[in-house]
Amino acid sequence: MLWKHKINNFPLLHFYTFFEFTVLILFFSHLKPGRFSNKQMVFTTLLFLVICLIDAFVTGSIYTFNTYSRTTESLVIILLCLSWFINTTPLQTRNAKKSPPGSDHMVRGFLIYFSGALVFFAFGELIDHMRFSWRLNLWSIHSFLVFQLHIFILIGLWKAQIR
Amino acid sequence: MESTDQVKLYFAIMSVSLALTLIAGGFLIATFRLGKSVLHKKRALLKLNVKHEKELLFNSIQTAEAEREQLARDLHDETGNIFTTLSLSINQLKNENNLPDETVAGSIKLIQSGIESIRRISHALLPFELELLGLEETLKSHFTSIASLSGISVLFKVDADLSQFNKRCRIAIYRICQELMSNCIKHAKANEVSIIITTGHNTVVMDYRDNGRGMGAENLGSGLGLKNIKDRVSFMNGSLNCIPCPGSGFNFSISIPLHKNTVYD
Repeated sequence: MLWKHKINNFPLLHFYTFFEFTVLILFFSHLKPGRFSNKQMVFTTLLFLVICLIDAFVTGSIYTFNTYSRTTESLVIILLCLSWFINTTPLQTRNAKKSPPGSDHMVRGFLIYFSGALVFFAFGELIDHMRFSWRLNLWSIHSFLVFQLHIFILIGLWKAQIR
Repeated sequence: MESTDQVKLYFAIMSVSLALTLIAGGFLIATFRLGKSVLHKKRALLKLNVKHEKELLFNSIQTAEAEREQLARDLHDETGNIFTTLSLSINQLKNENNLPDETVAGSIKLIQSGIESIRRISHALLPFELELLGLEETLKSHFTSIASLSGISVLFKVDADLSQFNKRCRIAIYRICQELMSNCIKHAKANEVSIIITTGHNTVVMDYRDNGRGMGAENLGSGLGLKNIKDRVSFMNGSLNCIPCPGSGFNFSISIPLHKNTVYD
């Protein structure tokens, strides 16, 4: 909508990034991945807020792509996904923890999405200066990753409902 | 120049993104396969444990039966013979020393009672009729003796060929019947019992019913007698169906597969 009216929509992305991160942290704290306690989760969220603010007002601008916060978010979520896999899958059978039904599909979706999208976020600002058709190609790939993420979330929710 | 750099960057972003996506996908596939393999191993281990437990049970029942058999034979052959010889010796002593008749008669009576006790105990430990007369006749004789001693009316019907069962199975069925009758006398306080043995599809089914006090669901599996019955049914790879009906008798059904339990296996 904003893009159609030629209004810069990056400020929304800055808010969305923090919102998305908080929701995902809540999701992972609900799953209780072995190595991260609730206190650490809260600390991580607050630290991320600081990174977001620095990215928006110090190193960058609220009107440009938030490379640092998006990249940090991706790395943290990838780490949480890996931690979840190590603690719940039979990689560590003795301490394996039972997780809510369907959550495994969601975590799979997050891992694939953030792994694939990490490089788009890391070079987000540079992509922003490329010619329009290339930008469109790259963000289309990102859209495909988002699509697969939503498919995984849908399967997860469906499985949770069945259980 | 700037354009060349941008082309490089464009392809680098694309390929790195694709590579990372593939690595993540590969990791997921690897964990999925690992999970499946561990699950498979766990199932195999569980199966092995169940098999091991069954073997232990099999061995313990076999050992107990062998010990009983040995004890019964020793009691019957050795101690019984000693008593018989003792009786002859007392008769000889009486003739040689002119002992009073009353004293000798009392001693011989005591010896006869000892012989009778030994015979009864050794028969309870190992029913010799099982070998001589077969399971059906042995059970009939057992139920008749129970009926005459306790006053319980026992209806026993057999509509199956019990001679096809092998020795260990015949003993197991006999012990189950012994246990059921013992429970009936001790706990159920029933005055009517029916035991009907029929042939099913590749199985022999034994139905037991009595009109005693019955048993609540909470008591099922708590007693040693019922556990012994369960163990013996499991020993024959059979299944057991026990319907708790407190206050209105006791229903019990055992299904024994013929496979691996007959003399031909």
